[in-house]
Formats: sequence, structure tokens, C-alpha cells
Amino acid sequence: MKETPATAPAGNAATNGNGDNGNGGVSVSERDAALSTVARLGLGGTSDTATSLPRAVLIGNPNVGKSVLFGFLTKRYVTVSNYPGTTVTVTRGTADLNGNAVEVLDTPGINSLVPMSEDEQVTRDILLQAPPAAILQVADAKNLRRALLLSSQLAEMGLPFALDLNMMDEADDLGVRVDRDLLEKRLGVRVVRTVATQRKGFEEMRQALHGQQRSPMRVEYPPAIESAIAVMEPLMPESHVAPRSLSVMFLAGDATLDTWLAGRITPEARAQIEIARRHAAAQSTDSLATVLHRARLRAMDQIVLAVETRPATRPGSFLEAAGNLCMHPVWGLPVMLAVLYAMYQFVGIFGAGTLVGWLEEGVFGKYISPWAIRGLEFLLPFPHAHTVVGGVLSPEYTVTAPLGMGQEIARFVHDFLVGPYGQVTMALSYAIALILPIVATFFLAFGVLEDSGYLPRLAVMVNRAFQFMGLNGKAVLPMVLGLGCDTMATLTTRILESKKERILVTLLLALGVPCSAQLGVILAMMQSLSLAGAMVLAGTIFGVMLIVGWVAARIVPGRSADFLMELPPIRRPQFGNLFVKTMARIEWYLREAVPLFLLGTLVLFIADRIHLLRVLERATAPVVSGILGLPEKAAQAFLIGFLRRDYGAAGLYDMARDGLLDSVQIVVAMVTITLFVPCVANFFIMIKERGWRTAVAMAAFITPLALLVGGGLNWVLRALGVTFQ
Amino acid sequence: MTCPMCGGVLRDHVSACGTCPVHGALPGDCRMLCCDNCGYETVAPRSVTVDFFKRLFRRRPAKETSAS
Repeated sequence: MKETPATAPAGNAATNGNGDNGNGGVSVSERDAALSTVARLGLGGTSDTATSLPRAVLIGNPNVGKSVLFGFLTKRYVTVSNYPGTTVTVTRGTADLNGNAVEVLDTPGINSLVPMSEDEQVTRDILLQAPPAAILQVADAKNLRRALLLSSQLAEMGLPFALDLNMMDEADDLGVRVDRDLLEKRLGVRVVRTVATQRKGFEEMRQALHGQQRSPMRVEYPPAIESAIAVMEPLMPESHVAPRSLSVMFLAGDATLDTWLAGRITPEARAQIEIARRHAAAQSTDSLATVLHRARLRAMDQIVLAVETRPATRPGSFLEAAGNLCMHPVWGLPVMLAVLYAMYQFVGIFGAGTLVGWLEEGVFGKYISPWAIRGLEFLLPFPHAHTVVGGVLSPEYTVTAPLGMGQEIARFVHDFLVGPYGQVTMALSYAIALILPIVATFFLAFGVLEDSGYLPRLAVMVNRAFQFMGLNGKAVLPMVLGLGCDTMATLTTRILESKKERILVTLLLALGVPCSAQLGVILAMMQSLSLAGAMVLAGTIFGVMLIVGWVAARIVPGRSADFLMELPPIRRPQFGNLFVKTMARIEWYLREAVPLFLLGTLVLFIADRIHLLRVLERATAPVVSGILGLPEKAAQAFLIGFLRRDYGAAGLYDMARDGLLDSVQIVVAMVTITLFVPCVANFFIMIKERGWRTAVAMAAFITPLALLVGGGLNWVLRALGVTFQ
Repeated sequence: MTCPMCGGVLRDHVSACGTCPVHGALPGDCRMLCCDNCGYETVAPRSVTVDFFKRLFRRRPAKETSAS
């Protein structure tokens, strides 16, 4: 890296800081006509048509405290609106700087000005369309390296800016010291320090918005890239952004820049730029984006090395070592298995065994259901006798005398509430006695994983397997979230950068990621299986997902993003926080699931009354019994599984406990219901997010595949004569 | 509150409501906390049950008595 002499002060919008070398033969009026929606809608420029005010732009990495500084500067009159044509929010407000009104823009958090996501493109476009009056880069003082990568790009663009090292208190706590004066000298721009949460350093920050300078910092790239830049620079259009920066963006594969360039240079100049890019690409085995990033990183590391000191050993190194172990290529796997085994013991054995037994056989079996039955018999009597199983009153009964019209009505109400498909004896019993203990223990265990910092490390571990399915980076996140709720996770696929990843993850979520309640039921059903049975169950689901993902990744066109995740430290979970969070999740489950359990039971009740249930059981018998080798009654579970997958799984669990399923049938049933069609809520979100054609196509693919896999597994296991007791 | 995935800050109805997929998709009051950085969602650590018991067992300030 070398430093060029300091350049002109801020405010000169016509020059670019690296000399005037505009080219391309396109007139200014033609270029103006090609302005993007940014300028047309008044989101760019030193001033805009909407406010006619000079503009100050806050930019920085995500979660560095921009919003707090923005709040301080603007105080009020804030408007939040989506950036035109995107879902990205840009917040605007007015600030009073030394008696002058300035419009302040709070841009989305970004990691690079070579856009890989909508957020990054929006921020880059704001800077590209017209020169702001001031730019304040807000940085996390603890993570100088990440911030400087952005600073180097601002410097390369030739835009005047100031750097605000925020979160200085946290940096101090960690023993991180930054030599501000030296950093100012190396960057050539003003550097201020703030603690946004305590409002420290705000006045200095406010002053840094005046008299900003361009940074003379310049990153030197490998010779092949520098040669390409030398060819491209003179061909770039006249702009307030340095042609070197435009060239680097283009070399890095910034496809969005093409639109901006289209109306500004001639097709011939565009062709020459492309030839130079291809020539540079041919001289490197790695992608140009990688080469550029590596050079930039190396240059910034030199600055960090010079200006920053960190303590050699940090407190909590044991936890840090434990965190590293969780991601170790070899030891990470046993750690993951140990975590899963601990979850199985807690959720599958304690939750589904001890707690379910106490609630279902004790609370519901001995008290709630009998009291409800006896209460209804008292209020609406008709001649009948309930079956008693193990001293407990069952919802099953026989009519002991012919019924009159009034008694038929009493029987209908009785059946609706406490019959075999009764709201109390089935819906509430399933939701409260069967599923609630399982999800409550699962939520608690999941809370421990969340608060300990293990989840992102699990994501790193799983990422290696995901690469096989054409999925990298952020794609891991919705998949992990799917273990909580597939519907929410499908919504989160919006954070993925490519359409390909969004489609693949939506498909895999609908196909094979069990939600919390269903996972709990699976863990509970594993109780009756041997280790081999559990491995066949898990192996089949993972295997199908890997194969489908692998094939889909090769069919669906598009690219995958890189994996960038900042790992939070490993922490000891706080019991109070865990308890409140688990309670909050239980309340969420009750609000979400219980109404659907009531509705599902009503559907079964009506289907039973009009004898549709038996017809459906018989109609699906060739598949359920013939192909899957399950009892005909299992059809109910698959039908109702569409309403809520955990409800369907609970039905199968109930059958297994009643001894209606052997070990092979348990494995086949669990594999099939896990791979089965997504629940209705997830399906609607799939339609909303991916469009009805894609959603229907996915459901049409998943349903027969689930039956095919379940049937195939049943056939293989029966042929081999294995049992999993 | 810290994001369990990336260490970012989870904010309630402040950080990313406009861009949050849950907010944009589900009508009514959104009870989720979202990470602006990585998109992770989690429930807000507020429990109606816990709040109810807190209110129930909260010590009421003793009534002031006049010294006359």
C-alpha cells in the first residue's frame, strides 16, 4: 500500500479526487437520463428535490450504532421508507449543524461497497449517484479490521469522509487500544471516538461532519489487476467517484454497475473494459473478487497492526477454547453428537417420558378428562357406559339403550367435547398433555443452545455439509431456525442473497427440517427404538435432504454466496433469562398451536360423524398400508399433519404408545411424516415468498417423494428382517 | 439483547421493522425480535405469566402514616 499526497477538501462535487479522466463520449444530458431511481426519487445528491438540503450520510458495518448516532443528530422529524424498488429501509431526518439544516441519511449496515446484497447496493447507489455533503463512517472500535475494509473503499471512491470509532467502552473493556492519532495519519481523514449508548463524544462527532477530507490511502493490487485498472480508468465516465474505484468494482464482478455505466459510456468503451476484465481474470486462478479482497485485507492488516494493540491473553480463554472445539473439523462432530444426545435425554426421555406421563396419565387421565365426562353426563345425560382402561375412564363408550331425539343431541355435544375426537379428550389432551411438555423441554434446551453461543458454531459445522448442496453462508441460518418453526424460517430466506439459495432453502425446509414440536415428538418416539433405529431414522432424513439438495443445486440456476459470520463468544447461560424466554416461547406455542389443534380435531370429528374418515382411511389404505406398511388408522395422522405437522406426529406417537406400531413402522412413519408436505401455515408462506407455481411444484414434488422414501424404507427393512427394539 | 447467532444487537420494533420478513408478512402485533445483521429471529424475553406473578408478588410500598 502506498499513500498519495493529500487531496482537495470536501465539497467539490465536480472532481473525483484522482484527476479528471472522464471518457466515453456520452453527453451529460444523456447520462442524466440514465440516472437510476435513486436520483429520480430524490435519494441522491448533495441536495435533493424533496428537501433541497445538503445531505450527510451515515454508513458502516451492521450493528455499529449508526441508528443511535442518527437519533442524536436528527432528534425528530424522522421518516422511514423503503428504498425504491427494494425492501431495504432508508431512514431520513433533518439535523441542525452549526445553524445549517442538513438532511441525514441512515443507510443499511453493509460490509462492502461492492454490492453482494440489496442492502449493500442501496448504500453504494446513494454514494454513487451524487456526492454527499458529508459522510460519517461509523465503526465498531473492537473490530477495526472490518471497518477499515469499508474505509479503504470510501478512500478508493475518492469521497471525503470521517471515521467514528464507536463502542469505545466495549473496546476498553476488552483491552483493545487504538492509536487515534496514528490512525488519522494513516487514513488521512479525521477520526473521532464515541460511546453512543452513553452519548459520549457526540459533539466531536458532530464537528467531524464539517471540513471533511478525502483519504489519500491507496490499496495496491497485483500487477495483472493494476494493468487492467490502468486500461479501464481512462474509459470510465466523468463522475464524482474516482475511476479507479469504478474499475475495481467492475473487476470484482459488480453486475449492478453495468446499469449505471450503460448510459454513460459508449458501447465501444464498454467492450474495451470487458476485454481488460477478461484479460485480468485469465491471469488468476482465483476469482478477481477474491484477489481484490485479499489485497485489500492485507493492506488493512498493516494499518491494524500499526495502530491497534490487543491483550495477548483474554479473560475467559477456557470458554474460547471450548468454542473453538465446537467448530473443530474432527472434535466438532463428537461435540455435536454429545449435544444431540443431551437434548435427546432431556427432551425425549425426561420431557416426552416423565412429564408427558405425569400430565397425560395423571392430570388429564385421572382428573380433567373424567371430570369433563362426568360433568357432561350430569348436564346432558344419555344411556351409555365408558370403557375403563387401567382404572382410568376412556373417551370410548357404548350406548346401552335406544336414544330419543333429545338424547341424540346430548350425545352429539358429549362426543364433540369428550368423545374419541373430543375437544377436551383429544385436542386439549394432545396440545397440553402430549405436545406441551415436549416443546417446553425443547424450548428450554434450545434456549441453552442460543444463549451459550453454540448455535452459530453448529452453523459453521453444518456449513461444510451444506456446501455439498450448493448452499453456503447465510443459508445455514434459516435451516437452524427451521428447528424452531419452518414457517418463520421460510420467511427468513429473504436474507439470502441469491434466488437460487432462497429456492433451495425453502424446498429443504419444507422437505426435511422438523419444527420444534415435531422434533420433540421424534425424540420422544426414539425412546422405543434401538440406537440402530435412531440412526436409520436420522440417516434417511439427512440422506434424502443431501441428495435432493445436491440435485436441486445442479438444476436451479444461479450462484451461492460466501459464508461470512461473526461468531459471538461462548457464554454461560443465565437461568433467569432462560426461564423467561422459555415461558415466552410456551405462550407463543399455546397461542399458535392450540387453536389449530381445536380446528384439526373439529375436522376429524365432522369427518367421523359423516363417515368420511373411514372412507378416507379405506381410500388411502393402498398407500398407507400397502406401500408404507402402516395401520389404516395412520391415514388420519397424515391428513391432519397438513394442518400441523406436530399434530400428525402426535397422532402417530399416540398409536405407538398404544402398541399399534412396531419398531419398523415407527421408523417408517416418522421418516414419512417428517418428509411429508409442509403444514398449511408454511405452505401459505411458501406461496407468498416464492409464488404459487413454485410452492405448488414443491408440494407436488415433496408428497410423492415422502411416500416413495417411506415405502422404499419399509420394503428394505422388511426384506432384511430387521427390528429396532 | 444480543443476537445468539452473530452477536449483533436485537432490538424490539426499532432496528429492522421495515425490512423484517416477519413484520412484513404477519399482520398484527409482531412479538419477535429480529437481528438487523443476520436476520435471526427470536421471541422477546417477555412472559405474560412471569409478569403476572411478578405483579402478584410485588411488594407494595407501605402506606405513609401521618406523625400527628
